[in-house]
Amino acid sequence: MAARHTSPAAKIGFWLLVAVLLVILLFPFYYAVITSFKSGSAIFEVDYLPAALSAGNYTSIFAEQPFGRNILNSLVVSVAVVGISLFLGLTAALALGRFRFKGRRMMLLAVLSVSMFPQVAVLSGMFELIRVLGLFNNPGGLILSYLIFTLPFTVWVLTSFIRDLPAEVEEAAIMDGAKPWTLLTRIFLPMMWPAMVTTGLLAFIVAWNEFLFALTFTLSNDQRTVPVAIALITGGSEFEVPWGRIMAASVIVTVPLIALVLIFQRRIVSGLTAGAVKG
Amino acid sequence: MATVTLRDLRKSFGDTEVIKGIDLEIEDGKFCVLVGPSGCGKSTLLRMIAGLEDIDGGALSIGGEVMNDIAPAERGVSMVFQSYALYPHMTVYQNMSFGLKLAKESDETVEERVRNAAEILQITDLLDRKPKALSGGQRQRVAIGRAIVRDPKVFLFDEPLSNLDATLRVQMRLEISRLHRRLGTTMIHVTHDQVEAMTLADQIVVLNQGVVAQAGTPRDLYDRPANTFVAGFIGSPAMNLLDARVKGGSVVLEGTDARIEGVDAADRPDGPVTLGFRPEHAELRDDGDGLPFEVEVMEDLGDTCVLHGVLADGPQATLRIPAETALPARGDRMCVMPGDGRCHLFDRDSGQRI
Repeated sequence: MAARHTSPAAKIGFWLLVAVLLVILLFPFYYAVITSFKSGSAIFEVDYLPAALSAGNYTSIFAEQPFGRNILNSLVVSVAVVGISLFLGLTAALALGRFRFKGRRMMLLAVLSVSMFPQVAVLSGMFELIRVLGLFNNPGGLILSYLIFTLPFTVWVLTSFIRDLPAEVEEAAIMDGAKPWTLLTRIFLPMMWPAMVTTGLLAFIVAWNEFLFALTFTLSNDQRTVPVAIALITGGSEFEVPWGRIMAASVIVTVPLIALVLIFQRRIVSGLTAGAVKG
Repeated sequence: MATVTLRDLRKSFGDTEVIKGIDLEIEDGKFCVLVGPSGCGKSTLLRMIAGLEDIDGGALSIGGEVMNDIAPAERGVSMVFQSYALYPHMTVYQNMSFGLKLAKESDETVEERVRNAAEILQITDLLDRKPKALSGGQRQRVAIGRAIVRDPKVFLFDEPLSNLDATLRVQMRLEISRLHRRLGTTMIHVTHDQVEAMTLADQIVVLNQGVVAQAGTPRDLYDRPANTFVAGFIGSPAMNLLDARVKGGSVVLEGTDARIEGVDAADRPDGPVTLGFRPEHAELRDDGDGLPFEVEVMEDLGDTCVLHGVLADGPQATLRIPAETALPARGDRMCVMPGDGRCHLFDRDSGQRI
């Protein structure tokens, strides 16, 4: 109704606001991209349009330090975190969402409360734990510690999602002879793709961008993940901050995230359960 | 195919007993309808037969075998759910074959059974579609198809028609009836709709608060309700149940001198009773030899006409008369004889038929 009667002025205003919003959101990233293609002292000139493109920063981060190795570390850690979180989250969600047992609420609250502590509070305890387990300076230590952040929301989101799935579909499968494992993999899992993709993506982003634990639990350059590696990129002297290379590295690590979101945005569809019950 | 026998079946949720000892025998190949108001335990009872609810007491046997502790899939029963409960991510074919594949049937058997069932239900064209691309009636057919392919000994229907609109419901009701005749399998059907119960059933079981109020053929229940609950539940509009009194071998309405004709109470002692008569069993009398009935609300249904009003200046009553006669209006006084010789007497306290 309202859309039909909007005046041209209102339309222009609307798009103007959209433009302002986009500029605010995208300008920092745009500027990072431009800066990453500059070389030498051109970095300190303020340009809003790319002048001369130079890939020097991109080649030098791979040449002067193990940045490829850092990306691989990040990838291994993030993928493992996503995989473990989703597996544990899904099995926990099935138990918490579909079965009644004593202490179920308590357990859900306990899971949630884990995520309330600030990172610094668990840092020293976590450090001891990782040393005892022999995971210091090892991607395994990061994977273990990142589960602290990813499991609570994974369990919660998947639990509430699984609880909303129609019970009769589950019962129909039981009547059809499905055992719990079949039920999980053949019935629940396909219906839960939207929730799995969303939580998996969030877990990936958390693991990919995490800094504090990665800084504390790794020592050598070739065990570091990208956020730490970027922060520790050094210039020729202690007075030089190599902005160009930092920007180039940032752009490189942002691209996978953007790609993931673009790939999976089609799968983040609601209404996958439409048709199961009367709709 | 199998006889289903329930012996003193019991079920509690926490401290509340919802199924209070049900004895029932459903003969092989019969269509049995469990009917009752909300919360009477009819769905719970069906789910106990299916194996989706544990049995707390008594014995359930299907085809002579005790099934209390047998897994749902191994009881030889198929269930059709109220919400259809199709698997949304599978095509119609996959939906129907899921159970057979889990049972490790050969591909040819699966294919053949699914095609057969699809043909019976006329959904062959839909086999490649996903449930969301189907209409309500088509989904219902797929749900029934999924039950058929498993070739069960007993079909269980949990209010399968209540999600359909009125026209489709009548149509599907007829199809379920045809399906029963074609397959000849024992079917147990839960509904709260007494018309559905009357039209489908060989045997109706009326449940009330976890016990069987009466079990019998539709005709039995209509003609000889065992108690006031069944009397009021079966039939639409509901039977009139009026306070009355036996006085010297005849029945009079409480608080009036109005004598009801055609009720045999000659060997009854004097005392209070409940008089029941169906709205359609009221005789209009032009000669003034009857009871006065003052019309308050008139509902014209086309073929018949339902009158709500006051009988003999006493209790409220409902009558249904043929609509060919001149229709009475609000405030009209008519002369009627309730029951038309088909009255029922119930004990006032226990509600049981006398």
